[in-house]
Amino acid sequence: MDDREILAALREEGNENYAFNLLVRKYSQRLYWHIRRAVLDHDDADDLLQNTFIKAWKNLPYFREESRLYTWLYRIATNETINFLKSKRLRTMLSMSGHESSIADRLASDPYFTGDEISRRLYQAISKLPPRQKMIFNMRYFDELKFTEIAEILNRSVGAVKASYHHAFTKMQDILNEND
Amino acid sequence: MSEDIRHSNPFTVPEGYFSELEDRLREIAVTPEPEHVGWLAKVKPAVMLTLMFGVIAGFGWVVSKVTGLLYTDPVESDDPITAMIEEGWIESSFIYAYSDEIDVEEALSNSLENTVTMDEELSEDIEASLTEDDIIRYLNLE
Repeated sequence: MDDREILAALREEGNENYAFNLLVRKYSQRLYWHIRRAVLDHDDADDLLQNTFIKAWKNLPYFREESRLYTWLYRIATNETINFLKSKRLRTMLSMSGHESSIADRLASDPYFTGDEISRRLYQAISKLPPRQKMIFNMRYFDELKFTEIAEILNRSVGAVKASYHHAFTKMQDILNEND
Repeated sequence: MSEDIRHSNPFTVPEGYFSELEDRLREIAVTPEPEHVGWLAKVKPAVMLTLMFGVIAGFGWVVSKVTGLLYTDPVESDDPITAMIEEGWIESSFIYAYSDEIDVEEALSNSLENTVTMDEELSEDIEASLTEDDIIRYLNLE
């Protein structure tokens, strides 16, 4: 279904449930995987997805259609995830626990992670990137979004996004080469 | 970094997660939140309770006033016998037993004459009238 049809359904009085179902049906999986690749844990991803849709639903009356609906939803999900990763990073620093080892342990014991050793190393390396760089890397590398789209989602210039991706990619290569 | 890793997804979700997601999210996001309860609504039950107490107390006061008007204090009445009974000067049983046969004033004077009271002044007089012999006799008897 087209975004315009979803938005039209949203604006019809008494049609809220139907419109919300359309919105979730169309975007929940894409947004979930976008969040999940960044936070790794299913429960965290579920919480963030929930927050994303709650915020989207509350702010939909103010959505001015200057950007596409999926860009707007991606922006909410990305900001939610970045904030979550920042606070988690701070908590890890304060608790003085080994961040790296905890990621490796979590992935190894996670019943919802079926990746092999190479996948585990890749996601462990991604987890070392700063939150915003991580999101840019994921959007470009896994979601294969264009730099212009990423720039629109993050409300940054295309040049800044390209530079961030380049930094992230180089860092990832270094981390993976270190482990070889 | 290989293309295989790029397009593979090593993550999974609990069974039925996405099929239940729609209903669960709708329940959370679309269900209207309970309306904000203002301070007036919060204190309303307490105010109503206080008002009820006030109404009950007021009603009680009015009832007591009305019944008070109907009730005449016997002490303030014209009946001297009733007044004396109320004051505890005479036994009600005595008066009611003979009230039909005796004169009220005569009964009162008889009652007062036959009443023996030992006030402080009288006991001092008796004590003063005792002689030393009376005391010795009394002590020997003890």
